[in-house]
Amino acid sequence: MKEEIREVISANIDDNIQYLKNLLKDNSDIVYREFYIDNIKALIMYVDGMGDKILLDNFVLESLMLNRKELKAQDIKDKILTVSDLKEVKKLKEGVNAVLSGDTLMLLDGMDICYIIGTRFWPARGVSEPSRETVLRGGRDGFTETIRFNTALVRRRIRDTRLRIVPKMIGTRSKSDVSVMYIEDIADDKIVNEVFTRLGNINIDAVLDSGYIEQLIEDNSWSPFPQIQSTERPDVVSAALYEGRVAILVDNSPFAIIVPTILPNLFQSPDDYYQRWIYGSMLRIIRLFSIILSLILPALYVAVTSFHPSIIPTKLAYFIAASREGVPFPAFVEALIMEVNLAILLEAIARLPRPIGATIGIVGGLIIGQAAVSAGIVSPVMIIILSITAITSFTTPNYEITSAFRIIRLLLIIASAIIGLYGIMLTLIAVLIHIIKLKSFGVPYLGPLVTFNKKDFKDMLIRAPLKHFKNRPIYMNTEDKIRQK
Amino acid sequence: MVLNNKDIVSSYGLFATLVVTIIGVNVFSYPNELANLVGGDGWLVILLSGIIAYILISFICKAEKNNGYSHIYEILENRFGKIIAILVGLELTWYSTFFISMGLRTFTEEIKMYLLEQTPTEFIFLVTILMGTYLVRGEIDNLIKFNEISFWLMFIPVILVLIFSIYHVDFTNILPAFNNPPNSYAKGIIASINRFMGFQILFLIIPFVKDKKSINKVARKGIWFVVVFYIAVFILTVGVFGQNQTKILLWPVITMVKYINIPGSFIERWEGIIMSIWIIFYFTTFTNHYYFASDLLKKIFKFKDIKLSAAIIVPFIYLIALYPKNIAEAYVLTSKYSPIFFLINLIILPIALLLVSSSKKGGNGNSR
Repeated sequence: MKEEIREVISANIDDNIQYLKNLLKDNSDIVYREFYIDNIKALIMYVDGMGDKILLDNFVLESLMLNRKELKAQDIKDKILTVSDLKEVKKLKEGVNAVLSGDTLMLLDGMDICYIIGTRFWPARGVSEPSRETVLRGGRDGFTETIRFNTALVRRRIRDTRLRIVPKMIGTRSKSDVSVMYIEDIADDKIVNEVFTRLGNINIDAVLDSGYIEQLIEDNSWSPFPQIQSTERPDVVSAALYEGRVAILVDNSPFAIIVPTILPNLFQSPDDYYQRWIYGSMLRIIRLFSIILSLILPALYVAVTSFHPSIIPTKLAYFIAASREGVPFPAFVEALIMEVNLAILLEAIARLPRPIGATIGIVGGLIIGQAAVSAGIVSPVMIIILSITAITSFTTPNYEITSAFRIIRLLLIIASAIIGLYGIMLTLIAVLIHIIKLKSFGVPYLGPLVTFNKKDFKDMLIRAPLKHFKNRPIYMNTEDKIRQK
Repeated sequence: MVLNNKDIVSSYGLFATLVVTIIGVNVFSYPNELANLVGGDGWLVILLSGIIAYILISFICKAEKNNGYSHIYEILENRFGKIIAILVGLELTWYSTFFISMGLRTFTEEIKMYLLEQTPTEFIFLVTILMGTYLVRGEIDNLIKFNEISFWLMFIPVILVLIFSIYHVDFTNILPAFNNPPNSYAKGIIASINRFMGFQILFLIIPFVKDKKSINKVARKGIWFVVVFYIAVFILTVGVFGQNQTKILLWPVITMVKYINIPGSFIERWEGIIMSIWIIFYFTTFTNHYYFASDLLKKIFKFKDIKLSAAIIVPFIYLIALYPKNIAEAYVLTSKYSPIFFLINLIILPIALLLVSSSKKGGNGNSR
């Protein structure tokens, strides 16, 4: 249903008060304070718990109520109110929206304007270390639920006059604040416009987290791959802005989303850049190796044991066969059981409070694993493979991509159970075709891997020494192309 | 955004497409065929066929240039009229379809021999064709990107594997050189030029190339790459087995890879691994020809997009691939028909196009 709020402010204050009280009836948290300035009737109105009472009492009410001078309308704003954040608006609707977002509305008798006093103040979680993206070296501050603090954290890293923080309100009922951040002379206009177009097309009642926005503006909802990067780290957002990408912050969400996102972005950690390039490059190679391992290892096990035992050394083949002696299931079922087991375990650990999570890890991982082997349900080799898979899959800094790979791993296991190595290869080719077709805001999802610009490869598998980073990413088509001279 | 822009293929894309389209499954049996015809002089035959292929390619480039880089079907229509254009177009489509179908059969037999002994042939056909269709439906820019990435995925591992096989090579096996009667070289070239088949893909991609001036140069590089690769494979195979042994092996390259044994390595028999990499080799050849055929069909019947024509070709590929009773029959069919097709499509057609376009030069050809 469409929300209808009156636009005009009546010159008669009682009329306004009555209207507002009726509009927001049955609300215990809204405070109406009627008072007199000299002999003009006035009203301030705010939401209890979201407004700064100290500021209101000391600098608004006190200045106004103790005023005994002759009063002109303009003076209230110009000479009396000792608050910095004060706006004069002509529409009641704006005033009501401001009240609901924590500001204070002030109405005066005989005037058809109202004042909005910036009094947003609520108990907020302090800046704390991001729990999902931990780094060995680098800032420990992470985003919080308050959008203003988040933009400030980014602004502190970009003291550039060309940084743009464009506000938008999304959600017909929730009216959530959304900020689109980009650096004007770096980001490609096409991408920025595309972001605004897609945001403008959203017509949803409520936005509770940046995840909503992410899902509503992504290119392909059917793809298992995340096409938008989400991060809790202001330094990651800043780095992205410097590369010409656009960040979207949403109020009430400690996760900023960054577009366009290419696949290699999801495998990069701030650590790669903050540490010396040799370590950074080494980390990336290890990560790539882990990803490949985590993707194909279980499928390879299934393929080798059920179709091609001949391609591994004879001794190893015998060893695997011997360890599978007595296991009642084919390798495929064995792999599937353990894969499902792992998925359930991870989900259980994620949902439980942290102290219990560790217990689940021990019970689920160690005890069940041990018992399954000694009961002869799964072979010890399978347990080893599963453990390697689990560990290697968590080397990626991005959680969503881990989930995507889990789905692909499952597909690979199924394919390998049907047609062995050929199935693995075909599935990998299918995934390759899929990600070649995929685009994120007009940028190919594989980025430099398909645009093939030599300069971009300095920041791919090998992270070149920082002094060689002369250019911004070419595939982003940035306006300012030079990073350092 | 990309589709509106016609110039989407970079020079590297052209190079990669040419190479991955030409090099396909039939490399495995190539040394065997050459050894039977010319013994240790196979490298010379490869070189000569490479040069001939390059000459034909430059004909194609020239013909395209003279016709304002338009689509092959439009050129045919402008130059020869509608009926001939449809006939030639259908015939080109048929050529590509026939070629990939035979390739599919050969490839499936190889897969069945080394990887999947029990799996039904039809099932392998089906999944391969489905996967090909998935890529073809993605329009040309995705196909080219796929070729570009595949190029690295293909050649890095294969070259590594080939380097390992150098241990066992005795290069004197290639000798004696130039010890054959001249007509066997001619026979060798006729048989060997078919392995370069696939450069008709240029008809498809030249109109999309960004840097039109360098097409000829890039194509030359591509052919050189193919020639060097073929020669390396030939010399290594003959070097490992000797001429007589190479003559009797059905797929000497796989046998050679099988022979590689690196002490202490995790993988004992490499043919499974090389077969998995070879899947990409076949797949790129398959999809490029498939796309070419679908694209032509789309133009001939004036379909809106390639999805419909790609779907129409699927049953043909399946049935033609199923037609030979065994691998030997597939080889017989291939060697019987492909020289004829090659003559018509890759020798007569470019020359005819070239002659017609240069005789009418300055006419209405460029004013499209």
